[in-house]
Amino acid sequence: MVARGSALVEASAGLLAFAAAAALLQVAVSPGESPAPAAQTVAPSAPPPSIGPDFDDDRRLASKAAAVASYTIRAALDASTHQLRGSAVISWKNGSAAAVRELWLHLYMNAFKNDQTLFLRSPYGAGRSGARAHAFGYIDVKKLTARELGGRDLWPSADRHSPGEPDDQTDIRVPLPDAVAPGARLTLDVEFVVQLPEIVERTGHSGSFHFVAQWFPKLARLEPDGTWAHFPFHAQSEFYADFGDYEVELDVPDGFVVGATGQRVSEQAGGGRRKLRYRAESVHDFAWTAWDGFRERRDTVAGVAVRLLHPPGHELTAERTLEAIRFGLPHFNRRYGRYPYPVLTVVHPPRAGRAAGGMEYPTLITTGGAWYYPLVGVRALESVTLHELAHQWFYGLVATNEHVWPFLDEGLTSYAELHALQAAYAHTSLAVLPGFGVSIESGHRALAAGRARDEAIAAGASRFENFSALGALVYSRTATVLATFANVYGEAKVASAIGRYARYHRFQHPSPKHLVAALRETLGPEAARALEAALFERGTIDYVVSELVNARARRPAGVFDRKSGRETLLPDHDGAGGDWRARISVYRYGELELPVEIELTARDGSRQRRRWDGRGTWTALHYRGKSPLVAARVDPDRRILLDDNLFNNARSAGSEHTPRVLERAVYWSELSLAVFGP
Amino acid sequence: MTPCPPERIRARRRPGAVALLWAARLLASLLVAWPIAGVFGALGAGRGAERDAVLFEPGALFLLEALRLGDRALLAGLQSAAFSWAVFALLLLVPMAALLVALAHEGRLELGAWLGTALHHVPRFLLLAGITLLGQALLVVVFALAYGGIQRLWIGRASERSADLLSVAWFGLAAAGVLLFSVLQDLARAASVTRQERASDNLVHAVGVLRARPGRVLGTWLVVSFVGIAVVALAAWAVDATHVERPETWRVVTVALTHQLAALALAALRAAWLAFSLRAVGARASAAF
Repeated sequence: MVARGSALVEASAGLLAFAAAAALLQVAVSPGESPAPAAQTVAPSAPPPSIGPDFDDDRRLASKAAAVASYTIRAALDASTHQLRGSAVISWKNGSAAAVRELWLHLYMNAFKNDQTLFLRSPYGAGRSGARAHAFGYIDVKKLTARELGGRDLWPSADRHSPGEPDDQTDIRVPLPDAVAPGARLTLDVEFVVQLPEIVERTGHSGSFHFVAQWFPKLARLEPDGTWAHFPFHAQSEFYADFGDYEVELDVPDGFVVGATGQRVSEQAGGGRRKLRYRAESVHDFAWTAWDGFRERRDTVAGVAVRLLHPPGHELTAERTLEAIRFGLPHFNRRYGRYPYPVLTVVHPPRAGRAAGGMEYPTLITTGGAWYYPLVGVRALESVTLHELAHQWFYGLVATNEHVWPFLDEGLTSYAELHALQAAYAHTSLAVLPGFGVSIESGHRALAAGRARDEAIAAGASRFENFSALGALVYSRTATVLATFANVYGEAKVASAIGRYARYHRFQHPSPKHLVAALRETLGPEAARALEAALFERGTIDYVVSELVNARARRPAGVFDRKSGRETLLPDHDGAGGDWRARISVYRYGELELPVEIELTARDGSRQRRRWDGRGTWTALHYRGKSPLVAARVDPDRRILLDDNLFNNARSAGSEHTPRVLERAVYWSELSLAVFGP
Repeated sequence: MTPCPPERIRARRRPGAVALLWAARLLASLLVAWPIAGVFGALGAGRGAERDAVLFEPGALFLLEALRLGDRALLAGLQSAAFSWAVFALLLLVPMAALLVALAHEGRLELGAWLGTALHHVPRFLLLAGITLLGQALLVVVFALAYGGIQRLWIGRASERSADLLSVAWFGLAAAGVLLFSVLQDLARAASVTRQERASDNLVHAVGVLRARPGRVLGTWLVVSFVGIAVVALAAWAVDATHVERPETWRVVTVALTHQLAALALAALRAAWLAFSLRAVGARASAAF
């Protein structure tokens, strides 16, 4: 449904129709049952008491979003100057409880206007790509009027720059002549010109390749309490916006293949140019690409029309990408709710435009990677495809504030990607080398380990020291936290929690407390406490086997006063024939308390396991058997991936040499001497 | 010591010398590898009932942990190992010279005379190694410097894949040149043992041998190389089937034996190639060659 000026009337009619249907069908909402969240205009301000099993499947899935900010855009691309001339009609509703006297506009493209913007200012290449700009870009708003406020041009009275940032123009306040009451709608007409930069990060051009993202004047989201969630474009930050419907007409030169958010609804050719119209409902962004070098593949996966655009020579990577989509779409549908859109566009940028790769937009994702990746056993292609596809749920459908809580989309997406890759490829989910496999789980753990103290996982994007820290914590450590909890408490429980969270909050803007509440519901309060410590308090855990001492069990010796009289027992010095006893001390360092098993191995090969709930800072285990204890290992099944140091999880009674390492190093040295030596 | 007629020079006639080369490589590798294994041991990789089998578990959880925790120590260990490796590579010229001398002579070799003769050739072998290394380095530099200009021929005209394959072909040419230098070095060493001339004369003679029968020389080298690759691949397959990530000691022993059989086979292949080189320089363009 496209929101137009009479959206209020349409919404009211819809509500009346729903009420009538409910009365006719005598549908009753029973106590304890969450009402089906149809298109909601605001997210609940408090966690729901219980999401419940109703959201373990798609029965009560919201079918579309309430349209808060809808855009009708026209833009024409000049492929020689890499400029866009555009106009837009923005239909916006004040869904908050407060009247507003100003608007805030995201002009993200101004991040590339000069090298003193917040985005490009760092001399150390703070962005994800680390690249510097060569040809700058910007967006100029020429005119901004509000039909309901007299149609006067509001742009001259807009602030000239972002608050506190004189050289940054990405976060602009526009005062309004009159207040906009709660529930009222505003229709804005805006004209703008965009100069695309040479691609630095995500958006721009390289030769005739254009990737156009964050390119139009975009309203910031107004929160239910009437505060604007506005922010300047930081190099480590992403985006946040309201849902709405988009109708976009793109005017491009003939010969350019175009991919865009949404579904193409019409096409007109003439005068050496083509006009393509796209429609996307219930989304919060619109991106597109145009290049005269794309090749195209199409497929239908789980009822979704998939269109893949790739450079020449990438036939093998195209097939691998489609394989990943064929696996991922049904997989994520089952876990997080059915993908609601009819189309999905996948863009593999050419090498020169690779900075546009690895990114997500509603119904459009960009991948990337060299044509030879499938040949060398690296699963980078599958990884980026599944990651960006998972973003359709965590970012696209559950539209959290990526600036304030990047972990809510990147962390959940990384976990979704991890789970999908593990399901598809097990221990070779990151790389498959001759005789050797590396799992994505191991990869994420290695990236995240040792960084827990740097910053809280749940910190805002600009709080991290650099993108390396953000990546290690927001992406990898979140995935490792969730994988650990799945290992300890049960994968089915974690899957159920995240599935319920994703389904219930579809088309909404939840916060971390909603995620924690969903996990508390299935894992219990203790696990939820540990989760909060891990996410918000830089919580860590390190199990250590600190001591393993064997001794022969000797019979008692000395003078004993029994009831029958005094008894003197001589010491049994060698303890020959007696059992063996051992004491094992295990410590838990860090803030997280997770239950764990400890495996004891005796010399005769027998093994036994003990369980510790992880409470307290240490525990002692006692062993008695015919054979001495030779080793003890905490977490023998490698469940607690969050453990800071895996090598102190074990202790041996005897030597701790490394025969396999020595043997392998000797052999490789011999090989190298045979090849490179005399 | 009695020189062996070229037509009778065969590696299989000198198993002891082949074993000496293998044993020398093994000893050198033990000394090179020991500090590396020590770093892993210091990290705690040998703890627990499984010992360092954990490093070989599918998924590489513990291996990545070792690389993470021990990155600086491992780097230092590798640098030290690289230095040791270079020193031992030079010292291995002695058993290599001993192998060549043994192949070039027939009958029983008296230990003192044999090793003395071998040591006599080592300085010339060092010089040949230096010249070869210099030539290879110059070749690589020239190819690298020319690459920028060559690349402009296909940038913008070829797809990414074609451009990459052209780059691979360019550096493949460089690699072929580097290998050619190695072939010439071996021929020159053989000439040094049989003809007792100066290093420059031996090199000239080696070039002459290659020019006389390039197909035969390069073909033999390629066959020996491919057989060597097959040996290594077969050993890798056998080792993979042994599942060394499991804790039983017999698996480590089996893997060690498999690897040493492969190392011995490589020493034998080296000897076979050197025997061919001796035949080639000893009877250039004759029936024996």
